[in-house]
Amino acid sequence: MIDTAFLEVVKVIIHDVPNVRDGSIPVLSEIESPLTDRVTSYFVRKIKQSLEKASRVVFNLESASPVPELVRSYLSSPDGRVISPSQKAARHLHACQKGNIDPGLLAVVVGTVDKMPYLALMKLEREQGVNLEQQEHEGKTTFNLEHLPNLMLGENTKLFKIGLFYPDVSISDGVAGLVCDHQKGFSPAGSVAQFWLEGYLGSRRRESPEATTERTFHAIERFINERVDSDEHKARYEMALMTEMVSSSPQFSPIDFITNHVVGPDRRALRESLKEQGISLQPFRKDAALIAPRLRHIRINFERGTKLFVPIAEYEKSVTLVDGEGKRAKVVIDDVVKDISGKQ
Amino acid sequence: MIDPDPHIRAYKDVLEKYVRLASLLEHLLSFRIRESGIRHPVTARAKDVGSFAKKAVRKGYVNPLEDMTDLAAARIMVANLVQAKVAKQVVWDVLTVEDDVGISKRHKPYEMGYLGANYVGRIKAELIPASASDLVDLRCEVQIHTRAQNLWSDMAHPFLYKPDIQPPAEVQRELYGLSVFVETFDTVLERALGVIYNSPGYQEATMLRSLDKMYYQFADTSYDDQLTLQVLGALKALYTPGELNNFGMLIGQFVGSESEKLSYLFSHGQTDELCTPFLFQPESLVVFERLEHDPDTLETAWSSVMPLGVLEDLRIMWGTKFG
Repeated sequence: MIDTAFLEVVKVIIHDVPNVRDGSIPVLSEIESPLTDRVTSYFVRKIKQSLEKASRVVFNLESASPVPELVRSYLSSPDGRVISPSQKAARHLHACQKGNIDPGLLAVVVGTVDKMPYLALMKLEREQGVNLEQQEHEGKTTFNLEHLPNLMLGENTKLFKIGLFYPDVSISDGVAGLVCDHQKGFSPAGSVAQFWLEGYLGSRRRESPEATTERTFHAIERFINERVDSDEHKARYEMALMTEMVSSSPQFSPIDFITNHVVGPDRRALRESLKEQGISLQPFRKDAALIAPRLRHIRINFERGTKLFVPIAEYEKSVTLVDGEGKRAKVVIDDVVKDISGKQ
Repeated sequence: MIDPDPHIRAYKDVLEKYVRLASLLEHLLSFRIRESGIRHPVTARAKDVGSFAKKAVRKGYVNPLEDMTDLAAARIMVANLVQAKVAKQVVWDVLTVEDDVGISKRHKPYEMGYLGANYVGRIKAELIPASASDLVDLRCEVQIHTRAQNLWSDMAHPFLYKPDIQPPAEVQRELYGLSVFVETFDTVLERALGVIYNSPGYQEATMLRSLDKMYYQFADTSYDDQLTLQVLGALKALYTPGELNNFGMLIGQFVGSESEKLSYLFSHGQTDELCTPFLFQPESLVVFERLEHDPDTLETAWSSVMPLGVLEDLRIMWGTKFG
């Protein structure tokens, strides 16, 4: 486990990376930017903030991106050279920035997090009218970062894409990552956001979206059935879960589900239950392919054998479930009776 | 007059179960009593064979194993009637209560005598470990005493309930009369505590006393205590009454488990010009504790007294854990 509270920044190298359509070439730093305490604090804060909703990733071993190799190389020898790999990363970003992808600054940041070395690649979107001052330091080109914290304090927060990578022996190639795109979120393949994760960083989510969606769905259902006392709340949470799963939103966030749909002490209990079941609370790309058959009806089983199947779309319109005395519950169905017959 | 011998033999055969039952009862009650903020001991015992035999004869029980409800019994001693109400809830959480005997049920309005509350029942099945499933159907008794009630009970027991010789009627009357003073003591205390606990700022001041000690483990800068009390006035709503009663222990446990992280954040904060100054207020420990354990309602409570930007600064500082 890593805790970003312990994140420290040691070096920052900035490269100016235009879009290919602009016809201009990247302006690459030849030396790391001089860091003041203020600028260092700015980057620490920005990275920690950016990672709050990050997804866990690993490198795609079949990717053509040079990023995995240069990251692995750096992490195997963290005290070694970082300028040359960072320039390579900038050239690769330039090659990826075609079509509508905005130009920007690539910040390559190295340091430690929870006593482990890391290398982070951050894309800073340029605000209109703002230019970083290129300067010479020790006879080499770099960028002046002094006014970046002022931008941070302005009305428009800079939007970041970030990929931070650190050693993890549980991964086959020894590297794990945290990736976030605050601009677009994760959306179907071929989008701008996929450019950052797959095209540029050469990464993939640590688990397939279908598997993550299925595991999370079952974990929440398990909690609802085993740990929620009120039948009213059980029905409400189940309905909310299924509604979220069939919605058009490309993401599912366990944290947002808890905040928006779960009440009282059940909030903390669900949070702890998900942790116990090894379910991350971070948002992930949703794919309900593996659970689709379970998303058509809500089923309520009663102790004396009655079973109720309600299409999801009809549940809130025509069914009311209220808690009764002890463990009993009452269900009222407001609908037109179509027919009644015997059944085995 | 019953022949006690067969009943004594029968009790000896099952005594081991009641010993285990008493131990389990004490464990279940102790944990919950501590969690609710009551710092008084819970004691439990299985009735010894001699006491069993004597009570069976004295009471003339036909079936003493069934008739006696206190073969395994526990006593919870509390400071006052406010705590007695909390302890009663704990008992109801642990037992399926079959008989609930308090003062109003035991005595008519014009009678005086034994105070305290007794509960007879069985430990809830879901609380009994699988290895102790043979204890599921056994009854036990829990007695709740305030310290004042216990003082009277300890005095009265040898003179009024199990006397070697019966005191004269007027002496008995005076001893019973002392229970009125005990009842008055507890009632007045309960009323006074109600006023004190509901006084504006009382709970916040109590929380600050605990936070102050812990804050100075990490910082040596003084803080704005009026601001702290104002913020705690909003944040106290994020804790249950039991957690507030036990706030010192709760925050102490958090600080203990996160001391390395807190030391790191506070020491870096002292030299970081971008660090929010509100780190150096004791309520930052409450914010961190809630971010760790129950962040969902923090924003709403915080925004009623402080700018959300400050909370965001503290949240970013606390970081995110990735397993």
